[in-house]
Amino acid sequence: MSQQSLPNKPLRSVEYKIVLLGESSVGKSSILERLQNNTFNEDKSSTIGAAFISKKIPINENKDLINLQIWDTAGQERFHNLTPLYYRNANCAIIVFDLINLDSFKKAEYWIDQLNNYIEEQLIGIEIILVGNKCDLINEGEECSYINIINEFISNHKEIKRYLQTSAKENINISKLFQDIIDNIDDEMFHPIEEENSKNLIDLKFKKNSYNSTSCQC
Amino acid sequence: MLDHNGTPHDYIHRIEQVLKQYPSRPSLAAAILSGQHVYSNSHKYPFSRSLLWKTSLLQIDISLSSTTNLPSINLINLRNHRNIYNDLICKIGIPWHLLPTDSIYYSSITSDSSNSSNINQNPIDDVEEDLTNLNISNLNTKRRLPKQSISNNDDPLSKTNLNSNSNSNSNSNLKSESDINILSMIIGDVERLFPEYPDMFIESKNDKIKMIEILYRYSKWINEQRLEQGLKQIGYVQGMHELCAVIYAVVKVELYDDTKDDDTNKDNKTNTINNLNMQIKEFLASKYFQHDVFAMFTQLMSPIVDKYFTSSGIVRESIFFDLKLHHIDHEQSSKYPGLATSLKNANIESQLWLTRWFRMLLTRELGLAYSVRIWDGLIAYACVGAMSDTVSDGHDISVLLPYVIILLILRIRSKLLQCLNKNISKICYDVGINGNSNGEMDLFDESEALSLLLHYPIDSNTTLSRSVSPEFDDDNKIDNNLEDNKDEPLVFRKSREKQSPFKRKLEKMLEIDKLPSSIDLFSDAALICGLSDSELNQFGPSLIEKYSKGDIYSLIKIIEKNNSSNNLFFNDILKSTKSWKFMSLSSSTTSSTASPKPSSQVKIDSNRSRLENRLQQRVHDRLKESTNK
Repeated sequence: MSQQSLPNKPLRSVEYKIVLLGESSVGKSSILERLQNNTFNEDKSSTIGAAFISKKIPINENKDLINLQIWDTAGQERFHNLTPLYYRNANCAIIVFDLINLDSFKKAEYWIDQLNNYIEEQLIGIEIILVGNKCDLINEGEECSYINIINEFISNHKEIKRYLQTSAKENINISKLFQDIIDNIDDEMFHPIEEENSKNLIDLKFKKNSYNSTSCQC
Repeated sequence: MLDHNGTPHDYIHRIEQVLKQYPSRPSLAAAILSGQHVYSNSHKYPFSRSLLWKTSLLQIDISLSSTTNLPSINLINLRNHRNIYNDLICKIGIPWHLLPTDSIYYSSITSDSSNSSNINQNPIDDVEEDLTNLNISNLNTKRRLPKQSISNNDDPLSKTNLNSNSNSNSNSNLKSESDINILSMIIGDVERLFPEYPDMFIESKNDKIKMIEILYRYSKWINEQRLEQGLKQIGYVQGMHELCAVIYAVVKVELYDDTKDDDTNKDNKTNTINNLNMQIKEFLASKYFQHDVFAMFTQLMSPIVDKYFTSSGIVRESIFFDLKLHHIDHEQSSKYPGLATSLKNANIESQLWLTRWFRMLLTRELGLAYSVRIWDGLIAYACVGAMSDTVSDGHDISVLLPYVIILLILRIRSKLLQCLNKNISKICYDVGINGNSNGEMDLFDESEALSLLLHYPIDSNTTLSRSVSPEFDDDNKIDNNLEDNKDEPLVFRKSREKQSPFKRKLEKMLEIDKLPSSIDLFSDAALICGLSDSELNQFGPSLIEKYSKGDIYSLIKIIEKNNSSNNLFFNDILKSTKSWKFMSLSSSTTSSTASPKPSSQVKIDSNRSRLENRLQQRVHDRLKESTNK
């Protein structure tokens, strides 16, 4: 690598894991597809098991690097107890429901209970974000038909850090959803990269030195 | 595979030809496994997927008639299966009326369930005849069903949708889901079946309705079966819809509508020579399309439902998989761990990614067109392998699956190890290959490995799935840097060139080739299936050689050896920078004389032929056995 790229190297990094939970067909995979490719696909296959994307996001003028791992789970997995496998070590859980499907909102409650149990057992912190998707299907000027239920639920569940209405289809609030998460990552979670590299990047350092030494010779 | 294979006459003729060539179920299956009998796009060779799948899954026997010396299909099993589904049509109505009235599938009870494909509900003409043909093994299934309907239903004449629905409600325990929830879940999944082929289901309401009916009845049926056997309820699990749809699509291609040519049928009835033709027409009868799909689906599912559709099953199967992988790609040393150990060290539990590989029987990983060819092998092996000790059922297609997956994983082994093994990623970085796409070295990147496993690359030129912001797009950056560095001192550039032979070799090894042929894949899987652990150990290297273009560790070892000699030279430089130029040249000669890795081609061949002999022997024994019967 050339000299110029070195100062741009991030100095600190953080591994941050997000898991998407929620009933089948509420749009979890579509939210991810919007984030990843900025596309939308009406007929998307049901997620089986789980899907996964990872994304590297440089912040603070490239000084810090966020290694984002996002797990997309299958809506029906709640019957099969496999989901803890996916939310283990998660830093953030996005619980998605469908704004025009009250049943899917009731399932959101189930997920929050599951997560609360898990958090209590493991004595860990998982940021919980509630997302009402498909807001494009609500007529302009109107509210979600069960907005009162949602509001009451949120006021009773202080563990919910944020609530957002999104549309993966119309690309509403999707980037805000993830930007908020990124902005709220605790600074203490970052760990320096340099330390590790100095141990292992002997050759890199050497090249740098050799470059300098040879240029001295010229 | 999904195109129409000509007129009914064409494929009836084709099936006749196939049967004449392979006049028994095991011989047909063996021909598939050995690659003699393959599907071809050109239809140059007769091939019928319906024939293979239906006869294997439903255990429909084919035999040579002693009088005419023509093959004949024993249709008793098929008729029995069709009767079972007929009973289910009466017993299990679809609660369309419970759907929201604005659903496109809604239909009120009074409308006589016109929404469902009732054409298939015509009673079979020859039920009486079939009942007399029942053999003992099928008596069990026959007995079971009436028993259920009596317990469920006090008035068998009022078999309306409402009735059967309220029955199942009273029948279900509190934990199980309500009928409407099951139906909605199935509809939700069927609505998004195979988005790559919208004409198959998404755009065809008729096909969707048929699928929904099959799956709904299956979810009810399986729970009743399991209740009787004292097993945990399973019902409908997401993913079942796609397996069922694969069967649906395959069977649909070759159907025969016998209402169209009743006259010719009558003519042929007296003609014994055309008996086979008649049998094939019954075998392909379109009025039993749903029946046959249901029967094949239940047979396919029965051995795998506990393995792949329960969490405990997935955990068990993943452990089995890890063990087998561990033996094939075994530990060379702690510095060069095999794939299983590397994944374990990175905390990548196999069930994280294997769930989908297993549950969907590769359809999601490999795409429909390729995976049905693998299914050919899985189904054929279940059929042939029925005689070996590993399989007791004739339709357990999960026997071969872990081995097929192992071979597919070996194809991306070098890439995975690069992500998971510090030594490799560091060496790759040193020779100028970036461990990831963002221009910095990731010493230990489990995310990359997970991406590969959860987005298995099926094209040869697939780049890694990780998308990055433009500033992190590195290929250009490197090129630009090279341009920028034109005025670099000669020595520095020399040192880059010095590495290039390794760089090219490594790059070549890290490239992902196009998928191996499905025949290679399942015939190799058949070869290693059932081998002892020490045998797997023994043949592992040749499989790695074949599927991942050689063992990346061998190359790494050579580079390391070379580097260690360079390191001595680096130490020298640190002492005296004046010797830099001279040493650099000498090191470039060392690398060019480094001998290429000796080919182990000969070894593979001997291994292969030994294993092939064993398989041939097995098939031979099996054939003998079946003819003796």
